[in-house]
This record gives sequence, C-alpha cells and structure tokens, in this order.
Amino acid sequence: MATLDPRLRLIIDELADRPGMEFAAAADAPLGQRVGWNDRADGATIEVLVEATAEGDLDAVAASVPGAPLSAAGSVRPLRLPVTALPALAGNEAVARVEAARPLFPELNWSRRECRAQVLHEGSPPITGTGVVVAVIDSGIDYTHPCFRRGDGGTRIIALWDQAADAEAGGGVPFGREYRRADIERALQAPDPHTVVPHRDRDANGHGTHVAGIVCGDERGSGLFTGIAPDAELIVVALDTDGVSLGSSPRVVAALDYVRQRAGGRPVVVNLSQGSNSGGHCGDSLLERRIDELSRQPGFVVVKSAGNEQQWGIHAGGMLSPGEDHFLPFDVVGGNHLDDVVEVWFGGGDDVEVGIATPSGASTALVRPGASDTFETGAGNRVRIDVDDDADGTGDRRASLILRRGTADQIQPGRWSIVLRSAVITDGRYDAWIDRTVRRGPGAPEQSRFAPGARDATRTITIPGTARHVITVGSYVTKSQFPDTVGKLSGFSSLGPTRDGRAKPDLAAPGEFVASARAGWSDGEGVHATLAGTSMAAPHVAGVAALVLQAAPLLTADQVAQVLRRAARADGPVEAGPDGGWGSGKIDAAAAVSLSRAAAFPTVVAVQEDGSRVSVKTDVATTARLTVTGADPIGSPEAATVHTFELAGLPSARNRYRVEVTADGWTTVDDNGGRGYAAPTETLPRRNGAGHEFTVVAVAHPGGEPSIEYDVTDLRSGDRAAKLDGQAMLSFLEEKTEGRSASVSGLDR
Amino acid sequence: MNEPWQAKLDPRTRAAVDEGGPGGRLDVLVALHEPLTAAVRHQLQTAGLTLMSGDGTVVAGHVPDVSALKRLAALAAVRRLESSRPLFGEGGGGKE
Repeated sequence: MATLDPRLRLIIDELADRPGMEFAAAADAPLGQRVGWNDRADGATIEVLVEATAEGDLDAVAASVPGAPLSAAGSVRPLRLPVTALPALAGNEAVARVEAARPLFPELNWSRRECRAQVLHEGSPPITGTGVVVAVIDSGIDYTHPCFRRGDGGTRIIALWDQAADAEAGGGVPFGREYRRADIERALQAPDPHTVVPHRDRDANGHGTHVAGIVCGDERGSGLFTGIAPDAELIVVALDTDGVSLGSSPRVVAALDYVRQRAGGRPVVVNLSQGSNSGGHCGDSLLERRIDELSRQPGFVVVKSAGNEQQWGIHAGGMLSPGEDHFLPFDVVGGNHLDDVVEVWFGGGDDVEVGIATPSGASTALVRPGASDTFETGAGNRVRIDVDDDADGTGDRRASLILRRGTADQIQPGRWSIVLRSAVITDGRYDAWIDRTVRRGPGAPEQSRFAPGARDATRTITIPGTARHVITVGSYVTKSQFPDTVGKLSGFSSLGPTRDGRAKPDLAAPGEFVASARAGWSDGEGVHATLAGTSMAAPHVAGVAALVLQAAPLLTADQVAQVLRRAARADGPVEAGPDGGWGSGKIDAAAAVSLSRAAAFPTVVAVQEDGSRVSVKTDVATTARLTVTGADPIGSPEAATVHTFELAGLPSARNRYRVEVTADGWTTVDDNGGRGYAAPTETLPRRNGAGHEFTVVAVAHPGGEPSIEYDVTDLRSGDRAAKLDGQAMLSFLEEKTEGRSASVSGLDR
Repeated sequence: MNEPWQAKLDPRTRAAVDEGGPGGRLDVLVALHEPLTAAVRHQLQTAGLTLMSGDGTVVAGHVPDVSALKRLAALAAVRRLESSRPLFGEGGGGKE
C-alpha cells in the first residue's frame, strides 16, 4: 500500500463507510470542505501527485487508471482520476506515495493565517482595512477580477492612473490617462469592459494584479480568496513596462504624489514591489528622499520589497589600505550590448583614484576625486569614469564606471577589474554595486557580476528599500515542493544592512510561493496564479500596515514600522533581534494591531543647534541618541526632557544627523526630513502638521542646564507668542491645536 | 566638474550632458533647497522642465532634450538633479 497523505486517507475512509455511494463532490460539501478540493474537483475527479517506487513504472500506472495523466515524464507525476479509483491507485505496487493536489484557495487563505490577519478579520469588531486606502504602484491591474469588486458588483478601485496609456485632453494627470470609480463601474456593466476602460495589467505574469490581490483581494463572498486588508479601498498606478523594467524613479515619484492627492486625506499605504541597484544604498537617492518626505506625514506609509538580489553577485565590499592598489574584478558575459554601470562608494575622507583594466589586460589612467574622463579600449568599448565628492549629498565619494559597447557590437566579455589606488584613508570601507540589467530571456544578456571571490551577499537591499522611512520586507518560504525549505528565508531575498549601517529589511513575510489574483490575460489559467519574490512578501506587510492604520490612523510610517517590528514573530529559524535577512522576524498582524493601540510615542518639540552643541527637547522624559553619519551614535541614557549633545570631533557630514528619543520602548526619530540641518548657529523656523511655526530664539545655560526659548506662530490664526520656554510653548500649542486633528509631532522646517 | 552646476548632476546625467545625448525627452528628478513655490515652479518651467508632480523638495518632471539639464542645474533653487533610473519588478512565475 502506498503512503497516502491524510486528506486522501480521509476520502478513502469516507468511501469505505459509504459503500456503493455515487460520489459527487458538488453534492458532498462537508467532505469537500474538509479535504479542501471541492472547488477544484471536476465532477467526481481529483488531482493527485503520484510518486513511483524505485522499480515502479508510472506509464503503466497511468495507463491502468481511468483518468488522464497530466504530465508524461518523471518519477513524480500529476494525475487526474475519479475519486473512486483512489483505493486501487493506492494499492498499486508501483506507487510509493500519493498526495492530493493542493488547491490554490486554501493556500491563499493559509497565507492570510500565517500572517495572523485572519484572526483580525474574524474578530469583533473585524479589522479588515476599513477606512484605509491601499495603493499599488505596479504593472497595472485586471480590474474585472472578482476580488477587486464589492458585493454589489461595483469596483473597490477609487482611482486608476494608467501612465502608459495615450493621454486624454483635459485629463487630471500630467500624462497617461486616469479612470475614476465611475468609469470603472460603467465598464464593468458593459458587455466588454475593455471597450470602456481599455486598461490591462501589462506584465506577462500579471505582477500588479497579483500584488493587489495579496494586499486587499476579497472573495469572502465566494469563499475563494481573501487578501490581508479586504475592506480597504484601492488606488492603482500602472507604470510603463517594456517587459523587462517596471517603471522609473521619476514616474514613481509622480505616482506617489498622485496617490496622496487621490487618497483625500485618508490613511494610505503604498506598496512598491520594484527596485534598482543604482545608488548609494543609504537612503539618499531622490526617489528615497521623496518617499521619506511624504512618509513624515501621519497616515502615509510606503512598503517596499527588499529585492531578490542575494545570489546575483551584484555587490562587493571590503576595506582599502593606504598606499595599496585594490582590484575589484567583475565578469561580463558575451552578447552584452547594453550599458553596464558600476558604482563604488567610499568615505569622503578617503582619497582614492579609480581606473579599470579590461579583459585583455590593458588599464586606463587613474581618475582623481572630483574629475571624470572617458577612455576607448582596444576592443572598441568606451569607459567613462567619474569620481564625485559629496555624492548625492552624503559627504561620501562615489566612482561611477559606465561601460558602453562603443564601436563594438558588445561590451568585451571576460573579467574586467576596477583599480582603486588609495593615498589617504580615513575610513577605508568601500561598497560597490553593478546596476541591474536584462536578465535571462531570449537573446538577452546575462547580468554582469562580481567575480566569485569578491561577491558579498549583504547590503543587497534594492533602492528605494534603503530609504529611512520606508518599511522594507524580506521573503520566507511558506509553500514549496521541497518541504525542508518551508519556514526558511527565501534564498533570493536581499540582505541588509544599508550602507550606512541601518538594519534592513524591517521584517519578513510569505513570498515563496504565494497564490493570488491572476490577470485574465496573463500566463496560466484560472483566476489565481502562484508567484514568488519579495514582490509577493511586501504586499502582505502593506496589508497589515493598512490594518494597523485602521486601528491607529494617525501613526507615521516610522511608528507603524516600530509596531510591526516589535510585533514580529521570532520562531523557527528566525534569530532574535534584527537580522540581515529576517529583520525583526515574521509579520504578525494580530500582535501589530494590538500593539498599535497601546503604543505611546514621545514627541520631539524642538532641536536647537548652538555652535557644535545640539539640544533636543521632548514632551515627556526620554532617553535619547544622536547619530551623525559615519560616526558611532552618542547616547543620552538618563531620562530627561532636554538632552544636549556635543558634535565637536565628529564627521561634519554636512551637519546631517538624526535624533532618536525613546520612552517606554517607543522611539520617535527626528532627522529634519533627511534634509540635514543648516549652519550650526542658525536658528531655523520649523513647522508642524498642525500649522504652527517655531523659531528658537535663545539658549541660556544657567547652572549648565540648557534653556530653550521659542517664538511660536499659529499660522492659521496668525497669533504669535515670543520667548516661551518649553512648557509655555506646549501650552500654547495645546490651546491653538484644540479642535484640530493633526498631531503636534512631526516638525518640519 | 569645474562648474558648480556640474556637481549638482548625478554621474549618468553628467555623462549625458558631456556627450550631448541621448536625444529626445528625458525624465528627471529635481531636488530643491526648499519646498516648491510658485516662483521656483516658474523658474523650472522656464528652464525647460515640465512638471509631473506638484510639491515638496523633490519633484519629477521631463525636459525636451539634454540641453535643458544645464539650465536646470544652474538654477540657485536646484540642489541636485538625477536622471531617470529604471526599476525592476521583484517577483515572477516559478514552480513551487
């Protein structure tokens, strides 16, 4: 007798208990529900996987079963057969094991359970994302899919911006075409909806539809599939895609601003399941700066996939020594006719000259910091080397090496080597990334990679996942034909930390493999598809963030991130504490919502710079920590409402620092929106979300204790008050904020 | 990088300006010293930028050709300028 999985044993037991019964799945709901195959059953047939014994002949087995083999080769094959034939199949001597095919929908719902969202959906009152908008900026959506429709047949999509569509005169978007809820509902009532709203998911796998289904798909009415926030409303931005790339940094910035406008002040969670290797991986690309700027507003959260770069060999890192040449080899495969770009980042105090050696052994001259030069190689390629100071405003240096085929038909294949010659070294650390290019595909070049000995799988989080205020999500396995991998981190999931040492990803979620909504015209069949990637992990967390914002709609992205991290489960292979792959652990929706209701975040009411001294005032007693880029944090461990830090002797980093204040384990971060602080003695007018402007006007030090005074203006009434101490300022704010919903936290310049 | 405006460009944009290509419309991100105002919006548009987003210290837009990049970077209100970077989807099909 072959080994049967428990579901099949159940079926056989039922058959034995009811001899002679005409088995019809549709009429036998209890049994069907218990084994989970009734929706997949075709009349009285069932799909199984059959494994042969060592000597077993599956061809003979398949021929003996009155059903159709679904695959014609291999020692494990799928078969569809009448359920009444199961006992005979199990008794066949050639068969070692029979396993019921796993229906898609229980796996979908299992994913929801794995995230512990289902317990919230079924609670009282249910937490399902009501009142929250989720935005999917991706390849588009199959808006006709049942999981994006309400019970009355209407759509849950409140706005859809198709950036790749032909522009419509007078439209409400700067390019492409916008469809509002009324347009989509009109389309859904038409015989062919696409004659009314001619939008389709542009990805062959239906990437955007799949992602949207995980975040907020809802088929509770039919019992099929439910995403994480099934009562959230949906905004979709369809990026242009050429079948390889998915949108671009400016288009995503435009999309983020569009989402904020269309959300109309409601809490919103944006999912981004696309990224790039181009940049310093420290949150300073302009896309990341815009995400951070938007994410400082309460109720605006961006969730980003960590990336699938762990094993692609696109990162290298190490230490430079003064007076030595360091060689950084990378391999280019044949047929690469596209540009290859390598960025090498090192400290602003490191004086490094940069050159490159071709596979033929020829070397270019070295390029000094602050200069650029272009070289022709013997094979006809062109190489531009550009070394800039204060790259992206970080205070660090970056060497960009752009390889072009030039007059040749390809970039010369073989091993190239970047030469780093160090004269003066202050820090010594370098990190290098090769830009992502076309990978696989007919006629497409392979990704160039660092040589095996130079590769470093850490620091492979894709941009914009290294932004300071984005929530970055790694992937773990929840479904696989290889049971040993279940529960483990996905082998592809990018690893942190960021280049500036921040812990990323924030946490992990199911991403391998995940079944969700399938775009009707994408590869495959049926209304669900199974995909893998951190693209699939991120929307689980985006959905949970929507549940958290339903419970606590004024939390900022940082605060939501803290709640999610503290609530994360550290079980199985997850290490306690931040980990470069897992972050803080596995997403736990129920714990996160519970924590969000209990969290009490402190507020930074002022940051004052006086010479090389920084004073920070908080609304409650806190401990504090100040971090200057490139230096160890300075702690202020005594609980107090005013903390003073000395910056003398620390790297200037253009006065960029962040302040973290903590009370009862909850931390508020003030980094002035990532823009840095101006000249040390300058006093800056700063605004908060409630419409107040502050100017620090004096700092005295009676008895060594700093005393900060403020001029405060209520911008709505025009009321002003001068030279208030901290308590008087808070009283003024409370008086002027009365009746307004905005928090006094989140000071802006 | 002898001119101050050159230092505001990312390396790929600098290469595009130096080499006079590629031709045609370019999408860019522009970082400003202060959140976008009507006056700065006018300056950006006069320099050739068509805005695709509306506020904040980082705005998206496009220019008709590479020659506009130098004019944009020369504006005092502009802090940095970054050319479009392609993004890539991070999920796909596969067997379980």
